[in-house]
Amino acid sequence: MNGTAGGRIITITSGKGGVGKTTASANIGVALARRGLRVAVVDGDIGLRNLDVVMGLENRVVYNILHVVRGAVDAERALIRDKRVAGLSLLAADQHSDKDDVSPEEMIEVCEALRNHVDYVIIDSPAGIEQGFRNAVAPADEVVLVTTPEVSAVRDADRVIGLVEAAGKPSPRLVLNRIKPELVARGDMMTTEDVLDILRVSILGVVPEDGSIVAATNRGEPVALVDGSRAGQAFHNIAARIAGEDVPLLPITVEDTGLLGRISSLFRAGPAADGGRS
Amino acid sequence: MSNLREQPVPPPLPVTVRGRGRSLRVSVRDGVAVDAAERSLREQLERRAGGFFAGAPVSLELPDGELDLVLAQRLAALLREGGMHLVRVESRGVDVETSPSAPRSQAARPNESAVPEDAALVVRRSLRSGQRVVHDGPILVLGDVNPGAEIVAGGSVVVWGHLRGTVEAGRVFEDSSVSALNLAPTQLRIGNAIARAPEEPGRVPVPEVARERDGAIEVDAWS
Ligand SMILES: Nc1ncnc2c1ncn2[C@@H]1O[C@H](COP(=O)(O)OP(=O)(O)O)[C@@H](O)[C@H]1O
Ligand SMILES: [Mg+2]
Repeated sequence: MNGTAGGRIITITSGKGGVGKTTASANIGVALARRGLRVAVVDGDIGLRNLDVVMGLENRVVYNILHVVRGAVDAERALIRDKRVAGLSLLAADQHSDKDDVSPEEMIEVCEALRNHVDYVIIDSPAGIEQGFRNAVAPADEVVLVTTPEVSAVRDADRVIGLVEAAGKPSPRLVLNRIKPELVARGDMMTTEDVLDILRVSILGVVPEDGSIVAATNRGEPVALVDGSRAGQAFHNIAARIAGEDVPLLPITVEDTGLLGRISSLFRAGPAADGGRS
Repeated sequence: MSNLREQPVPPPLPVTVRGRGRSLRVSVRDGVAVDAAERSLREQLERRAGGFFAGAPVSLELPDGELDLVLAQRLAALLREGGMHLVRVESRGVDVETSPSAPRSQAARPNESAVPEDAALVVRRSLRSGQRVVHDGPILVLGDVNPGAEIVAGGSVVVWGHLRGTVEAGRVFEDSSVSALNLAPTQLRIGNAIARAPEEPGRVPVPEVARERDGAIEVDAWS
């Protein structure tokens, strides 16, 4: 899918704020790097700047994206290397500037420069569908959409899919974040199926609600760095799928692997399984 | 000896049936005639007989070329016999405005009263939140109309999918209707009558048609 030489540029976006874009960007970055891949995570939320905080790299920021855009330093030299994971680095945002200080063309230029040095460039997008969103999506080879299973978040996600497709990008893949299995089991929360029934995109991963995310975020230590958390495992699975591995979705409810799973496995075994286009 | 020779690859089936999560996807290959498609689907459903798919939602994918709603109708009937419900008809390609002469007669098939004497706009994709389609004549959507999407038609509106957005039909033509494989609009307006879909979570989708009668909106089965 990636026509240009070098690493793959993936933008993490959502439409609605607070659904977990920054959390996902940090953890997908960590998880890809722990697979031995080289990753540059770019804070596209210019003017807010919190990816460095979530990743625990705040006190090491020397240059930010605006230094690169204004030509003060090369993109690669502005990267802050994460000492905990080999191959992981961050390009921070400038917290005193405005999102309009960077244009989509400049964003493309910065990311094209970075892709020569890494396997993945991961861009954390700001909320909304304005200039900051357009900046973040412009360089993308692929867009990953984050939503929570709430009506308003799904509505915004749907809107974003339309905009991403209109921008000539491939249809985004979905990360469904903050699923609460108890609520799903009680019928009080939208299920993965409910969300996909509206959005009709392919699913990249499902991340459960996990209290350790808040604690980890406060420590500046993405959960994917520590072994044993459910959310951390979910992000490792997402990274594996991004890297092209076929990892099954973690089951959320008993129902998800019931009768209807049988139908699909039966068809997978059948002669017609790969007969058509997809 | 003969089994040492490379076997010929069997020709592709006219219709493929694939599982996709909990639903089924039925795809018709390009250039397949209606009868051949029907036969192929019937055979495949019979081979997995016993009502195994009963209740499964089905997406039907038509070839990209000229829209053939007769084909859609016949396959939909077969699926219904097997106890499945068709939730969506899709056909990729560009949106087209059909000429008042040719394919419009096909578009009229599913619901004769749905298409008055004007060119229909055929939208070959789902409409997502924030997207809006306006047309003087009838509008035919192959796909879903999601919450937050909006359709404004001079004539009737036919949605071969799940209608959850907002629809205004009959701006120009009287006797316009709104039909969908699953009629659950945020808001529905036909002429001067306005209605909203009742909250019915978990409802099994049945094709329905809404019409205006004496200033109120009436809903009947669409068959
Ligand atoms: N799976 C999760 N479980 C628990 N808390 C989460 C989860 N994902 C995100 N959060 C919390 O939600 C808040 C918003 O997340 P953030 O990643 O900053 O969202 P965004 O970047 O989309 O605005 C943060 O406090 C974060 O710790
Ligand atoms: Mg954020």
